[in-house]
Amino acid sequence: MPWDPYPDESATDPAESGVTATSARRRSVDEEVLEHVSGLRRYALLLVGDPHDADDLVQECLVRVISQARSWRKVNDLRAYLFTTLHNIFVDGHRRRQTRRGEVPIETVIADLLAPPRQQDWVELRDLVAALQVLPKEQREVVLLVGLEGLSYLEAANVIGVPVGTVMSRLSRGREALRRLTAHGGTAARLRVVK
Amino acid sequence: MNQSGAASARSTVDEGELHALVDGRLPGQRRAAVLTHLLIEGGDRERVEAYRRQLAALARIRKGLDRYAEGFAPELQRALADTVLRLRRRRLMLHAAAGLVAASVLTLAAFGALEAWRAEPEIATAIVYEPELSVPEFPFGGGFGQHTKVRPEGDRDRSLAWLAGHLRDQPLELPDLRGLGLVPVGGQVLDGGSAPAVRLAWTDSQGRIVDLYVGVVSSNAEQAFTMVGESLVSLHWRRGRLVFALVGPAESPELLQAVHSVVSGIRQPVAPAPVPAGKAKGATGEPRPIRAGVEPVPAVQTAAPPVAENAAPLREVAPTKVAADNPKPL
Repeated sequence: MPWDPYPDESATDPAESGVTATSARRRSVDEEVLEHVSGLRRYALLLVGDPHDADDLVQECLVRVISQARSWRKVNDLRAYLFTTLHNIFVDGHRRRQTRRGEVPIETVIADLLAPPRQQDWVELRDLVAALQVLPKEQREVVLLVGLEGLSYLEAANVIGVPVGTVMSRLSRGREALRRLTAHGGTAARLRVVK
Repeated sequence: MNQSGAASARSTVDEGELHALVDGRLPGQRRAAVLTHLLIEGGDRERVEAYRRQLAALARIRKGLDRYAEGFAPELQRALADTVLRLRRRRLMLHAAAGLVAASVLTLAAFGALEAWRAEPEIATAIVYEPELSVPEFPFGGGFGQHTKVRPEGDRDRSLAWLAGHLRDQPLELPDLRGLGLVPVGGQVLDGGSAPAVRLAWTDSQGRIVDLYVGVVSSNAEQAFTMVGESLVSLHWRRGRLVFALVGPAESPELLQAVHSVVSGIRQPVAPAPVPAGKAKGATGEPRPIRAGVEPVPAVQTAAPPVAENAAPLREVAPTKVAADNPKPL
């Protein structure tokens, strides 16, 4: 849900008559922040492939965003701002993180986090998650921003800082690579994708 | 569909449209053409189905991790929520201030229209309309918000003492706006006008300038409007013989608080005895240059227009000079 810097203050729930408007606003913002941070953490997990690195990335992103609050004057979409900041940190530290990748298999993490799926579903999810880790990071970013987080092509382009045409191109190549990697029963982990 | 129809459909559908269809972002008018294309092109249909399965799998992951951040870095989440709330409050205040200004302008416009309407019959009956209130020209030198540079802090007290000399029985003291994150950076006598006036300047941590213009008037005549620079806003009020104008960045919601601080600061001056007119250090009735107490360095305010005519030569002061007082942004 895009961040609305000018929410309708009059739209309060009559059922909350016993609760002050301030605390209701606070709860609403807390929920909004939880939603955004969940998106960040989810995206980072699949992007980085290592849960510890992903959490480091999200924490660093939050710290940077909070410490740069003065520059928020021009921020109209908090979610886009958060994802852009996370992208920048990821790109800056990609090489460092790459050396640590694989300490904890992401398939295991996903299996632990998700409710026990049916066997067929689980195989499909495992193959997809494994294949995502093989994709070039540029393609992985776009596939996840659009497919996992539901950003529009323009929003994804703004987050990554590339033209929309580049987003479309990366999306197309990324999805096709995923399709090929997962086409024959989970051979993703053994394959390498060439950009 | 026959062969020619298939070739026609294939030629009009590109890869981007296939992905737009998968993502539900294909415009309605193209949807039929792409679906027709998929009926004909089995290979593309197979790919689109695979992409849809990918999306469905990602959606399952998303649903499973819907509240993935619950309990994650609670202090950071709280700090982020605090920042969001603070920013929203600030923007709401800005909107309220903008609405107030707009309402004032509309009220003035309506009043002007009413006056014009009331005057019309007199014109129609050939009676010359003479307003009872004459509106003299603005009596102070220059226009508000037109001074791009700030004199050194040392001139602030001398300017204030010079102005106090025109009040005889009322001492003046510089209001303390540090509670609002504003640090005094200087002042100057505004010469060139028919009434004595001074300009006092503060700055915030971002180097933006807030000006307080204080003038002494001797009549009860209302003063004319004056213009401020682009992106600035001015607040005017009067207290006895003193006329005030506070000019600052338009986006600052704390200007009204600054007004209250100034009013209370002027109301309860601390100690200093009034300085007789003409006795203040370096003060005369004539325009005079003010000597800087520190070396000039570039100022940072960029929003204001060029220096007003008749203003004395200006020296610049860097906001960093007062950084030790820990100014905050407006």
